[in-house]
Amino acid sequence: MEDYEPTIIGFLCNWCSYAGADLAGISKIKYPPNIRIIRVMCSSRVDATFILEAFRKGADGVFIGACHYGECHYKSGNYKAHRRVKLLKKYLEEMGIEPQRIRFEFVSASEGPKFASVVEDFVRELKELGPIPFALEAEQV
Amino acid sequence: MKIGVYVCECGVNISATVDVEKVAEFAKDFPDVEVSRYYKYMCSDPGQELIKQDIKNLSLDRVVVASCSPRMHEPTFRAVVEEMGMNPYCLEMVNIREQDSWVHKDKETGTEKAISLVRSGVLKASLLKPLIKKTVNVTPNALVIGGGIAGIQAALDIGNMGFQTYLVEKTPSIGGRMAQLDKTFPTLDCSACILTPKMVDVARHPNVELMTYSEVENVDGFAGNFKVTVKKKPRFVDINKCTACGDCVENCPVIELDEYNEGMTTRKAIYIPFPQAVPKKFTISKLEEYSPCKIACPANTNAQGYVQLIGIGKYKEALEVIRDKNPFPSVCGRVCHHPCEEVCKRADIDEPVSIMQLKRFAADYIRTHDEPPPEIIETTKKEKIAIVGAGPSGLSCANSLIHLGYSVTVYEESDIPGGIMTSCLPSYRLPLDMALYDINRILDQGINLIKNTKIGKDISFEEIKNKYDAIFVGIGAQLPATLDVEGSDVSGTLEGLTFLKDAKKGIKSPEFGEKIIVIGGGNVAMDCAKVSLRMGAKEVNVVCLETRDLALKDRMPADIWEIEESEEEGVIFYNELGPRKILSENGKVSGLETMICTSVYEEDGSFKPEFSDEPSPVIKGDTVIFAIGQKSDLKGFEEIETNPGGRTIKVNPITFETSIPGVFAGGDIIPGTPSVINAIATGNEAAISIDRYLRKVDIQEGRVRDVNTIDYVRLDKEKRPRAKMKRALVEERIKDFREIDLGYTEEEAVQEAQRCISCSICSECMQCVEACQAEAIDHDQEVEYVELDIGAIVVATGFDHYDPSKKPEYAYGQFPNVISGIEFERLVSASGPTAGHIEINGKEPENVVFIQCVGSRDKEGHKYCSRVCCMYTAKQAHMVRDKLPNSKLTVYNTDVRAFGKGFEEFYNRVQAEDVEYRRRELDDPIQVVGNEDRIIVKAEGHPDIHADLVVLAAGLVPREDSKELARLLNISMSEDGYYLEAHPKLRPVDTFTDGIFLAGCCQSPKDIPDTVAQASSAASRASNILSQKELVLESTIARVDESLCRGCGICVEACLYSAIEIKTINQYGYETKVASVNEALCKGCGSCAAACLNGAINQLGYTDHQILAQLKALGVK
Repeated sequence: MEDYEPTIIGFLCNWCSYAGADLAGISKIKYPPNIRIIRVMCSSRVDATFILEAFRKGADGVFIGACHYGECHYKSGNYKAHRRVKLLKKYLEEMGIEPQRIRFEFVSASEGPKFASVVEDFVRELKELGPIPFALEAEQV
Repeated sequence: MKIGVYVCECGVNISATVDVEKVAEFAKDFPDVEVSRYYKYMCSDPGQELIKQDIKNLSLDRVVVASCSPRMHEPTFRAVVEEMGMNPYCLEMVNIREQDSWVHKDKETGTEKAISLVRSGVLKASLLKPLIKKTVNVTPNALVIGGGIAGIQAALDIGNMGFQTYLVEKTPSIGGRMAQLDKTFPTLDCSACILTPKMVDVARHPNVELMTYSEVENVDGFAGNFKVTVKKKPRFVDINKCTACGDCVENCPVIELDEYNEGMTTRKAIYIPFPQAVPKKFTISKLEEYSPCKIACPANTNAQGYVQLIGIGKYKEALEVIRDKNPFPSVCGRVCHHPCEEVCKRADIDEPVSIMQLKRFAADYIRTHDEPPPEIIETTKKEKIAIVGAGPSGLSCANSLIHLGYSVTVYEESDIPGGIMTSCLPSYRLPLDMALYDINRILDQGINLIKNTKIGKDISFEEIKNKYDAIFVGIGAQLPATLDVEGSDVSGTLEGLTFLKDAKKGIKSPEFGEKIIVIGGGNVAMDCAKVSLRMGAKEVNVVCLETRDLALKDRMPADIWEIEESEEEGVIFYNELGPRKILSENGKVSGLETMICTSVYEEDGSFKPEFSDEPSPVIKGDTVIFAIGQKSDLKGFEEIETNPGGRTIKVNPITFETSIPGVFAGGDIIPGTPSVINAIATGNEAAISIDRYLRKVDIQEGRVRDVNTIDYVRLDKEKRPRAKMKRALVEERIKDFREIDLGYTEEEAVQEAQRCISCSICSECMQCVEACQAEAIDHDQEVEYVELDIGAIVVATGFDHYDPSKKPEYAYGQFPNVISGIEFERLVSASGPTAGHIEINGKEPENVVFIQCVGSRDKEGHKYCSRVCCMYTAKQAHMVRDKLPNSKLTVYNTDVRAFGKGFEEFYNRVQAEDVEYRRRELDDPIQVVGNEDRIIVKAEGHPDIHADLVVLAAGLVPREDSKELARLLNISMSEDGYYLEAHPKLRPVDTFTDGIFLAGCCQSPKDIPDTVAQASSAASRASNILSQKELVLESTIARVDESLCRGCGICVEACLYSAIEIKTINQYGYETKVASVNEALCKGCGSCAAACLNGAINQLGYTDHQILAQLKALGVK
């Protein structure tokens, strides 16, 4: 397991987290390359299906980046997203997938360093968890 | 499907970490890819041309550009494909710079990631659908928030371009921070001289509407079509009538700290912020919350109002304010239980203001200074009203009604009006002539008093009802309550109330002896005890059930001052004892046998005494006075419904209506009226009800209001305990019925009144109304909300100053000669507190020390450099040198940043003016120590220095309320708390929200030229929008697939903009409910698409299929 590199799918909202990730780039802050980012306009666009499908397609972790509470570009989409993720985590646990494999973070457009550090932390946590067993089985089906 | 893939090297920005050639090579094998290329700068002209040629030559359907963030160049490449006739939404950007090459080190993993991202982009692109651009008309109006130099400049520029502009400023005048400055660096222009013409220009500009003393309350909509709600705060002055003459200022008693001079001086509650203010109109500072004293008074007497007026020597006006609610100032100035003082916020500093005694002072002063008799009020209404009972409630009701123009007749059973005020209250507390003075002033206004007439005996209630249009019953509680104690049928037992009434008339009962036992713990018992002493008793004992500890539930009901006075005069108290038996010898009282009382009241407050059998004292005495309460005599009023028990009349507690229409009641005859001021309040309120009853309007409407009172100390004042009242000496006063309290002298009263901290600022004394000949003052003005249609918004809200008291090492706030930079500006300004003379406590400083970087470049706090402090310090040092040529000037700097045009030259000039610059390291300790007389500045690596004046170059900080505005406008803030620009280099005045732009220090600290430049820039950016006829709407909006929709409505609830509704359609001949999207309202967040269980509603450009395709590509290991 020494050289195990987890795959992370990241859903970032266009207005805060995606801009925050861009800022990390502009500031040349390094973080592990494990995350692959999909841009959505709002974190509330993230369907539970996307997260489950990401795991089925081989992701070891799913990262969702949203605006801070009160700063959502669409009034309160981030509240909806957060609520959905909380519910889904319970469901995942029932299915035998560690809920820590979903990471929900508030990252504003000015928080480039924060974005880098939460990605780094998430990668470290996923390395401790190891690969997702569920996905391998699913692939074989 | 033919897809073209274009991978950008971005010089070496991408190619250093990503092997672009390999990426392009790999992409050739992705599905549907027709062509895949890489190029040095894809965004350059040749790069764009490459794409264009391919679209033309290879007939591409979709284009994928792998380069920088789509937030950077998506519009560029959309324009490229559009130019070639392709739908702009058939372009997909892949971010391999900000989110790949710039954040990773290893080329191999960077390349691998780029390949994966490009594959994802290609898969998504193959599923992209052309989208139709929708447009919307633009409202050509601009809103500028903030009336400082940035806002003024932006408003002028936009206005000059011909667009209607609204300039909203929250303070009463535009001008902002620049108006506070004396000179500006490095040219030393006078700040006011260059600002004032601009202020006047903007106010006069035909396209600019000033909205001062206003705040943005709500913002809806989007670029081109914002709906903005502006809250216009009440100035309480009609600015169309105000001539700025200033007559009102002379009359205003209320002192408030002057914000313009940073609190170094004071102003009045009615004020113009500074001499050059625009608009030059007065404003009254009045908080939305009420002063607690006013609300605590049952009659809502404006205590703050009359106290403030006494403070400036306007006693007549003060008395008018009192009489407005309370026609008994002489009485209530002596016997009120003053709930106003209980809540006085001054108590949080030292002691409450002595409000009751001040009322007495006003009444006494005017009475003894030739007060003219009251004016006779003309009857203007035909209705006649009868008042039964000439006590405080009845007379207050009569007084209010006669002022409303009614004819009023008062029936009184005894031969003297006043009720308990004249019949029982002992004269040492309330002299008879004082009570009669107030009573006669009320009656002399034209009220008809019929004495010696008892309802039910001399005249029937029925007769009165027939004769009058409305009746107020205020007959009080004049009968003593009795107690059945064993042995009380002997000589020497007296009833308290009768005893007091006789005493008031000077009658002494033959049964009254020398050793008195008073039974009871209320105010009547205290009165009986003290009256007994004055009637010649040798010893007075008070026996009561309750305890002396007034903090307990079983406390004595008497007021603390009544108890303390009795104790002072030598009354002996027996607490927690009840009477068991009155002992007698030869048919005459000889003492009282008591029993121990263990509990008096239940938890709910009901009276339920419990006693124990333990041995208890026997008290010797020859007279027992029962002072255990009083009750009403309701004979003659049988037809009015009473409360259970039959002792009090049942009334509506708000309107004081009884069970009989047209009959109202108040005072002691209804429950919950423990004191004179309560009785007055019931009389006043009943008068309002009677008036409404007779005018046949709703009696209830608007009677109960939610009021908020101030619960904080508004001004931080020095401790100054209340003025002590002179009182008659104990040994003298118990000899007769002279008054105990001697009242304030004029000097004492004024001093005491000046302790008032004017909780709600304006005291509503109405003196400004008196003074204003233009009739501009309107204390009833209310908040007004204005709706504006706005196309673009410029935010120019400025900054606050760092508060140096957060850094204790500077001793700011401890010594008057340690001041902040902005305070120094006011100090040297000709319009400042010293008219421009640099002096502290009247002394010119010899040694002046400036300390830089206070609150800026701070690792724990504000990390940024405030940009202006180095230069304003240099300017201030120059100002001191200019005004005090012999002073010694020292500047502690960390790094001098003189980066602007002419800055370095100015800095050199100041250095050459014998100003010593001492450099210190940022982290080295610096400390201001000493005492009031002598201050030393200690800095590491430098000799200690004595200072007469220390000026702290406090930095700039974001506005305290900037977060709230950010939320209203939906704009972001950077880590330092300033508003965030859309791009630090290329879009420095834009925000992430289209149509909203930034100007001045709300974006980051900057000097005046930079602020003005940015304001013009923001104005130009705003005009870009305003000058367009229409704007393109978001195309990535929600779309419903009606064949999948089952009309469940989950999307309706998920939508944050109410853009979805359920409609009924005809599907294959059946009526079906489906969701329907209002495309003008949809903002394209996609919340509905995530919520839909059927996948029936999707977000265009971000459909389930498209995102799942991306996922599939990215998951592959």
